[in-house]
Order: sequence, then structure tokens, then C-alpha cells
Amino acid sequence: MERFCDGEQDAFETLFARHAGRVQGFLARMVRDGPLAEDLLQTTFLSVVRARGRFDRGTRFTPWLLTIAANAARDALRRRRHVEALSEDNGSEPASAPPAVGDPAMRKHLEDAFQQLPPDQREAVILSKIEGWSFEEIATMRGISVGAARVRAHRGYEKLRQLLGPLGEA
Amino acid sequence: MTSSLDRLLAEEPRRNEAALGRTLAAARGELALKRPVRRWRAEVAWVVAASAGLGTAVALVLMAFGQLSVSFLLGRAPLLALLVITSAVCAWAGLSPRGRWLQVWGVGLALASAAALVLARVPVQAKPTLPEWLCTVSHIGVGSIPVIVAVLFLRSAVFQPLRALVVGLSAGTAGAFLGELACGQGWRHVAGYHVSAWAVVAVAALLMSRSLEPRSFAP
Repeated sequence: MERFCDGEQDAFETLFARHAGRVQGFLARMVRDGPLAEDLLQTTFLSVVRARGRFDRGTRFTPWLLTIAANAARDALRRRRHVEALSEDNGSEPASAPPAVGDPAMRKHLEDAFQQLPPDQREAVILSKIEGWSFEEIATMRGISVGAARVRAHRGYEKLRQLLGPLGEA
Repeated sequence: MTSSLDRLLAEEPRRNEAALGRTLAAARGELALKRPVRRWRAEVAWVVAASAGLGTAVALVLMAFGQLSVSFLLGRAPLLALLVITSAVCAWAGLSPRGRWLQVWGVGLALASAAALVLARVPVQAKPTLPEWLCTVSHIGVGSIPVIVAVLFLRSAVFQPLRALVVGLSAGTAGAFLGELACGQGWRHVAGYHVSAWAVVAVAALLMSRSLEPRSFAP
């Protein structure tokens, strides 16, 4: 990232190749809407290009990048909630019979369950359980206490467990 | 032992190579525009320069027209210095990528500065020759230039209400500077017509920043 900040545009290609898949996965889990996730992916990398002057040298790039993606996703979800509040609720129904682990339909079942979590809890679960962030890192990113970050992740994880029924158990 | 849920969470979603290609093309297009890279510290310097520079320009104009003496200026120097420091701290807190606690301190410092402006005035018995609201209008007018600069810079980061408010407080010091130089009214007038104008400028920055689409979602 520091090379990119110094004007080496090739460095951006390297950053993109290394991190784009991860950001795509994060956004897919956050919004579960293909076109919106792609839009947010573009927004995230355009933000990296436009705001590279805001990157603090000596800090890690990945948390900065995922913070941008999370900010963009939160903003999009907020707008979507606002639009949905104005229209009829067409809430997606979770699958009635949960498929087995390893079944491709299981991924869809998990995605359905993810979408039923409040965005703050969903973000905390993804960052802590999938991206491997510490609660301190989540707290710093969101400007909340470490305890609040831990509670969000824990509640989100427990709710996922309940939503997935027996598949969520050990 | 890893639960089924943990295993499920560990599964990578399918990569969409077409979407990745389109995103890379969009980013290359943005890079091809070769827009200059603005460092956030430079943005802080611009906001402070806009506020303090405008205050200095006002002082020079008043001195040129004989409305302001050097001795008067020196007498107000501590308060003017406090306003410049407030402007710098608030701009730094609002435009820095990691300044959440500093933002709270910035608001606190702005409140302390406003209190100092009010408490430094002695009661004045004489009736003002001009309408009192003229001070409010002048404050907002002078503050409008730094506010525009501040809002432009706020667009380079994700919208956060406290961030926008604290940068607005920085921009509002320009009007407060003018009030210290050009108005000799008492504390009631300062509290009612100067400090309120400062608050209006800060809230205007907040509302403008919220209504504009950010150029980036960077912290």
C-alpha cells in the first residue's frame, strides 16, 4: 500500500489481486445481493484509489480495506432498509427443511440465516469468525467498546446457531 | 471441536471473476484520471488556513481602515490564539482517519473557547448603533468559505455526524475571530449573537456533509 501511496500504480494491481476475493466474500455475506455486492466491491476499490491519502503509513492494509468495505455495506443496507420500509415487506423465508452440511443448498440456508441477523451483529460475526479480527480491532473500527463488540459477535453467533437448528450444533 | 456452523462459516463463497474484472477495470479507469493524491494532513492545513487566513485578512482590512489598533489586537491576542488552536484541533480531529476520541475533545475545546469568548466580555451599558443580528449574519457569511472547504474535504471519508460537526466547529472559528475584532458588545450579545452563529455554521457543515454523496468510504 505504501508503494501505491508513493505513486506506483502497479502496486494497486498487486493489492487488488491479493485482496479482492476476500473483500468480495465479505460483501457477499454482508448484503447477499449479487448486483449490490458487485457495486459495493467497486465502491470499495474506488475508495481505496480516491482516499489513498488517508491511509496511515505503518498501519495494516487489510483492516483498512475491510473497514472501507464495511462502511460501504452499512451505508447500502441503511439505504435499503429505508426503501424497504416504504414498500411492502417481502421478507425472505428461510428454507423449511434444513439440508445437510456439505449440501450446496446448505450455503443458501446459511446465507438466509445471515440475512436475518441485524447488520451490526452480522458484521461482527463475519469479522470475528471469518476474517479473524480481534474484538479490539472490531471495537476500534466501529468506535465502540471491546465489550460491546464481543456482545454483538456472541449474540449474532448464537442467533445463527438457533436459526440453523441442528446444523449449527457441534 | 469445530461445530458445523464454524465449518460452514469457513467455507469461501464462490468467486465471481466477471465482477472482479469489472471492478478492476473501474479502478483502472479512476487511476487513469490521474487525480492528485490529497493527504489528510494537507486537508487539515487547508481548513485551518481558510479559517485563520480569513480572520487575518479581516484584521488587516480593519487595520487599513483605522478600525483596529495594534494595542487592541494585542489585548485580544490570547482569545485569538485560543480560536486558532481550537480551529486546528477540531480540523485535525475531524479529518484524521483515527480521531474519534479527539473529536470529543474537539467539541469540548470549542465549548470552552465559546465560554471564554462570553466570559471575557464586560457588561456594556451603551445601546448598539447597529442591529445585533448583523453580527450573526456577518459570522455566518465569513464562516461560509471555510465551511465549503471543510465540506469538500469531508466528502473524502465516510460520513460520521461527530466528524462533520467538529470540522464545522473548526470552520466556525473564522466568524468568532471576526466577532472578537469588530464587535465591542457585552457578554449577553456575544452569547446570543456570536456563539449561536458559530453553532449554526457547525450544524450547517453537518447537514451539508450528510446530504452529499461521499467520494469514498475510507475511515
